[in-house]
Amino acid sequence: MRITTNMMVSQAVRDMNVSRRRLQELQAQIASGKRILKPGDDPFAAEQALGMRSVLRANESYQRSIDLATSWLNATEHAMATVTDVMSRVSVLALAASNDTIGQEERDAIAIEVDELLAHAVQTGNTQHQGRYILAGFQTDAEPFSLEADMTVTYHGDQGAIMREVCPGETMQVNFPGDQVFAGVYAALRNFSDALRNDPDAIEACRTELEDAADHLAMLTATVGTRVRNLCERQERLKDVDTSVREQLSKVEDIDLAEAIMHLANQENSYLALLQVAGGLPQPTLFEYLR
Amino acid sequence: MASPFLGLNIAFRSLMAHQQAMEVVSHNVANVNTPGFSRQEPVFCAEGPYTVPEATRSTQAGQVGMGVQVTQIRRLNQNFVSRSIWMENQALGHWEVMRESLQHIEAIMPEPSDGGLSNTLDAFWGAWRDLSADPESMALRAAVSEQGARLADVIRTYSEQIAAYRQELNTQIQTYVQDINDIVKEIAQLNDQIVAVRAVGDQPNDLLDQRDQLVDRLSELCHITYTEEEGGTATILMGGHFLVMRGEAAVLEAVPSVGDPTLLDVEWVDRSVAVAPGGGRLGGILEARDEAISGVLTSLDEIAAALVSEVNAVHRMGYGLDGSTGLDFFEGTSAATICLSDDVADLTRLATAAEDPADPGHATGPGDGAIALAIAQVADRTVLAGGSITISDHYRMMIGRIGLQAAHAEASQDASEAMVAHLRDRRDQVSGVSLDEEASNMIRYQRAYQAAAKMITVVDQMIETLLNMGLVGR
Repeated sequence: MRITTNMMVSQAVRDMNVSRRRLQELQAQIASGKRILKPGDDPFAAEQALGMRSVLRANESYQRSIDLATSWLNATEHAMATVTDVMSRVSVLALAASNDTIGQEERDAIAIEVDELLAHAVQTGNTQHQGRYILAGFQTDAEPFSLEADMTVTYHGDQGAIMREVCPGETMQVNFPGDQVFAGVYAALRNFSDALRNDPDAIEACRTELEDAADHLAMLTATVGTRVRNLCERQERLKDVDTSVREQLSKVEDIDLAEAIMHLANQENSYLALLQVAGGLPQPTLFEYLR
Repeated sequence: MASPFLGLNIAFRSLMAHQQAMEVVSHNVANVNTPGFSRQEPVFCAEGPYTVPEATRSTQAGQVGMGVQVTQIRRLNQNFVSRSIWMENQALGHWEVMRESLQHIEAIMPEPSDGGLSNTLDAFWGAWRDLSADPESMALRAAVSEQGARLADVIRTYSEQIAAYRQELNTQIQTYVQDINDIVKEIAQLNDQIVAVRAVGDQPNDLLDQRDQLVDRLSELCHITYTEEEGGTATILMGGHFLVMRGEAAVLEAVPSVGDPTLLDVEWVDRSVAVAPGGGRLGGILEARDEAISGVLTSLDEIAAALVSEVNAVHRMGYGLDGSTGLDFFEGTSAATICLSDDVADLTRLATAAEDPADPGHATGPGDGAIALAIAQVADRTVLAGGSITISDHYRMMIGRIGLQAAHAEASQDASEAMVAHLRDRRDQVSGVSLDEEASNMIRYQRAYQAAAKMITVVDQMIETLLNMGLVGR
């Protein structure tokens, strides 16, 4: 097979180009730490990587949602706890008031305290969290409860259910419309105050009313606790998904740095060897040896 | 019996023949680096014998050889290998152009990356979801507005840059068309010259080399069919229409396309049939432009249209903090025109709350983020491809497709390059100049020349002996 001068030179040039291309690829990969610098490097993996990144970002969004929902529920629980304390105090007062030995003066004194406690409870019902009235349903921009002159409490909010998406496809109600929570309490307190002042025989009935209201409140408080726990579980699950997806993404996208550096060293050596061989190419021809 | 001068003549002819051979060696050596040069070799042929008439018979016994002559300077070239190169060249040109274009598109839409459309889409949906949790927050409203504007920007930018690149390709197309026209004109001229030389029985070696070189370049530009006719003329066809026939060359031109005047189409000047490059750079660039690139623009338009219609549909049903309803969030109909609507320039008018079922025409309340949530959930609704994929799916699939096409083009180009390199080596095997070989030929011819010169000296001495015989002229 005839080999001409030009064949040898063009072969050497081609080989050098191939070697340099590989060097450039490896250098770009190591510099960026990524295996996939453009979709063409591995189209299927690139598509997968995009999908996984979306999942991670959505997760972040859901986690923010959960944090906010949790803080709302905690604020609601705090308000409920405050009113529960009020109810405990009132139940002590109710016990005292039901004693036949006390007179109207003492009953009036208790009534004053009950009125104060009612005002405190109403104020608690108007609790705000991050500038929103959390017990007003959708009407979060105005106080839900107002205490009238006759000690009745008017509810200005609505029954709106504020839903938050806490994980893909799942929403949770994070609020409690105020009248569902406290209407019974306010009514019981007002009735008790009224009975203390005007109708001592009704005090027994009021005590039952107060107990019912307190039980109702306790049940709702438990509900809030359950929701917070649920949110915690979702949070944990999201974190697990996050970890596993990140791992997968790294496998798909990232290079093994040690391996790549080793390949680079090899490639550099082979390129140097190539250069040496190509450098020896202007070999002597027969002309040099003819006298 | 022939005269002694015959021997002189034979030696002289050998001298001439070998001097000619040296010239051929010189020519080869000089052209060792000339691209497309086919080495030449002198064809020695023993001269026909001279028959001497005799008294008793028509020819003398013994045929007297008349020495050597160079009957022909042969060009060493296997047309078969050249044709194989030309066939493979069009694939090389085609894939090179495809790869370049597709990789340019990849560069315009860098993925996977933080600045790409995928991330921007996700950030947009995320902003709406955040807002649904706290609809009254002005900070979150500003974030939604910003992400929306950014999303529209990214889509518009992609669309603009890709459309601009498509325009740039026009310049390339014009260049290729001009190249083809120039080359075929030259080939036609060479055809005439070659035929003229062959007609008188000579070998137009260097003209043939030139023509082959031109066909080399042409074959990279488009897919040609090459035939050599009687007399040495080359007939070249492209897509069934002649490019070169004897001394006549066809002309192509690039004209504004009927469907879209900003793009160029390639037509034959005589408009007899449609131009079918069948491959090569011209074919590659038209394919890249009309299939791959146009496909991407269409997908982007679909994404933009879906965003505008789906988000607006939900947004119109919602109520802003100020009670306004029926407003648009996005404006525009395509990837080139999508932008944030003026309706929501005032952040309080961003719709977040749903309609109160008990009080139609009014919102439920400022704390309701149901509409904001519904907009965030558009991300997961399968609104494209007849209701089977989400917006993000559509985009991801488009990126995957581009990546696949680019990878395929690169691999094909590499394969073609290897094939062409191999074929060129094969051509070089036959036609390439080897300096060692020429050096040894040079020695051969030089020695023969020396021998012939020696012969002349000897015959000269013989004639002198003859002339000094006898007393005549003493």
